Amino acid sequence: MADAQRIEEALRRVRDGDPDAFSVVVDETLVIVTAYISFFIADRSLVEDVVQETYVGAFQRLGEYSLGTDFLAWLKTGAKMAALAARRARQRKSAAHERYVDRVQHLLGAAAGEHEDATPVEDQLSALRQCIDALGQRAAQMLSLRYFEGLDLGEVARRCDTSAGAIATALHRVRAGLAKCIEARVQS
Amino acid sequence: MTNDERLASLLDGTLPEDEAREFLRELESSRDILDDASRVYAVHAILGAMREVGPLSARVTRSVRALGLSAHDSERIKGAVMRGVRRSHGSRVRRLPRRAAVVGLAAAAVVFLAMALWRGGGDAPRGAFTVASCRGRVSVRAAGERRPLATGDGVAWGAVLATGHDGLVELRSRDGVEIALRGGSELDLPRPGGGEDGGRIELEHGSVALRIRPGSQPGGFAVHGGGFAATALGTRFTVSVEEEKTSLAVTSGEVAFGLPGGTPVIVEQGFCAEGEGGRVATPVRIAERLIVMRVLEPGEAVASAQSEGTGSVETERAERTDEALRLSFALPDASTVSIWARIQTSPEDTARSSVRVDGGRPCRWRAQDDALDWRWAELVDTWGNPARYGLLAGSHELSIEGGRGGGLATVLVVRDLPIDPNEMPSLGGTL
Repeated sequence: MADAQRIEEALRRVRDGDPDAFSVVVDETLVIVTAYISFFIADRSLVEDVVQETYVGAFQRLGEYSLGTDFLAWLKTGAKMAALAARRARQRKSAAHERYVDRVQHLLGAAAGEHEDATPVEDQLSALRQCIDALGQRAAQMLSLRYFEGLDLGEVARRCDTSAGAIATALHRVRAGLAKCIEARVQS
Repeated sequence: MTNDERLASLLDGTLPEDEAREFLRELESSRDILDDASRVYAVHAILGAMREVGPLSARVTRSVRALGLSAHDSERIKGAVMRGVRRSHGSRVRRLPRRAAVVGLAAAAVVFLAMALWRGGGDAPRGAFTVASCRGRVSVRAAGERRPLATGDGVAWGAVLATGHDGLVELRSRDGVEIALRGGSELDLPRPGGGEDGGRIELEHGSVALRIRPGSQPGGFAVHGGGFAATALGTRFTVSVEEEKTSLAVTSGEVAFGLPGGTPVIVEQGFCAEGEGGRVATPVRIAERLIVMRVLEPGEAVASAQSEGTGSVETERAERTDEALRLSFALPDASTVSIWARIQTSPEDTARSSVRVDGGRPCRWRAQDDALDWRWAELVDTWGNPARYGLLAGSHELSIEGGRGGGLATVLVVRDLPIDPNEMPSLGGTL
């Protein structure tokens, strides 16, 4: 969870002439901004490009931000614009056969963005961490191998001594379970 | 496949295109299915973001430092940050290789001007265009270097112009050609070829408005964009390339629009047309894409929609309170809309304004340079980027709060058309 007070202090330092303090802002908000951008863009490398653009843009426009207001909301606004622009550029380059998958991702991302208005991604992230802590050992292992170690399904299957199909099914159940868990925690 | 299986495959990157098409249909037909799937999709996105943010953090920090700033430059940094604008430094961190790669793609749209008077344009002097005006982030890349562009600069053939989302640059040639490159665009000015090809510009993406002084180009000129071609004579029109679509809006004169070598569609003044998938749709009146809401006197809760010469009149609702002016408008189809207001107000007032569509995030009118001048101002977000809304068919509400020190005469909702009403004299004069 981003520490708003720490962010504001760092922003004051940047404005007072210490640009290195911006790294504090990055550290406090990076996961949230990356997750938010990931709603709109599926490709990991493109997400990282947009994250970079977002922070560079934020730094350049820092004079437009009013200290003491909601920096994270301001940052996410820029992130969304950058993500949608990148997505449009990506679409222009996409081969025709990729378009339905792309459109599905866009539709789901847009809907996730709508939910974000009601439940900010930082709250979802906080709840997700708690939900992961509550996972069983095998589910946690699969999730870690797939997402945190970045292994493909085949390698995850090999390490778990099962088939890739079984891993795909199990992972989807885990994701769906986490989605319900997040919803329950946010509501409570 | 069930929808769950499709979603799992999508997240694992293995969803076949035919299943994606079916999944898309299911998602679009049921809000419940979409909501459930999007929540799982969000989990997937957040999980991906949680992975090893360390290297990404270092990369972002390096990028910020690459702006040319260091702790030793504190005074310069402080001044620059407080001004909030440092275009020249911003250009350093652009990923030129990616840009260059995009330029090479055949999918990139091409706008091709063949100007008869510019035959033999290879002899055109450097500085073939002059920058008549420039605002926001505008840069030019020439001779391997990128630099900010300013009013009065010359732009030579071979240069590449790029505008940030808040940028606008207007170029003029000696031969009566005016080009306005709008925000979020990139335009190449390759050296003119010989013979009938004449001069050429290539619009990679974004939007460009062209004005050819009547009689200045008696041979006419051709415009090619996104695989389509247009031919015009003494006219004003806009070409834009967005995603897979090339759009044309003609504000004066006539333009022939079609596939190169094919039979063109004649697009007359006041009409627009779109080219996509190898065909040009039947032109429609520009006015059909506009909802014009006129705000009468303070206190009068009246707004109406009417566009000159179209015969189409729509009446919308308006409600004014001390705090806000609320305008309702209806869209006949799902559309991507931009919103403009004809205002006469100071930059301070526009900064204080808060404009929301359907209660969404606050935006504001783009500040004007001259508070005494009535101008069409576009709705922009807090970053200065043009606000674009993907809205469903049906009723929507626009609420305008604060920033009431100046005048607000008209609000214009533009559907699926990248026009700037400031370039449409009929709109500016009658509304």
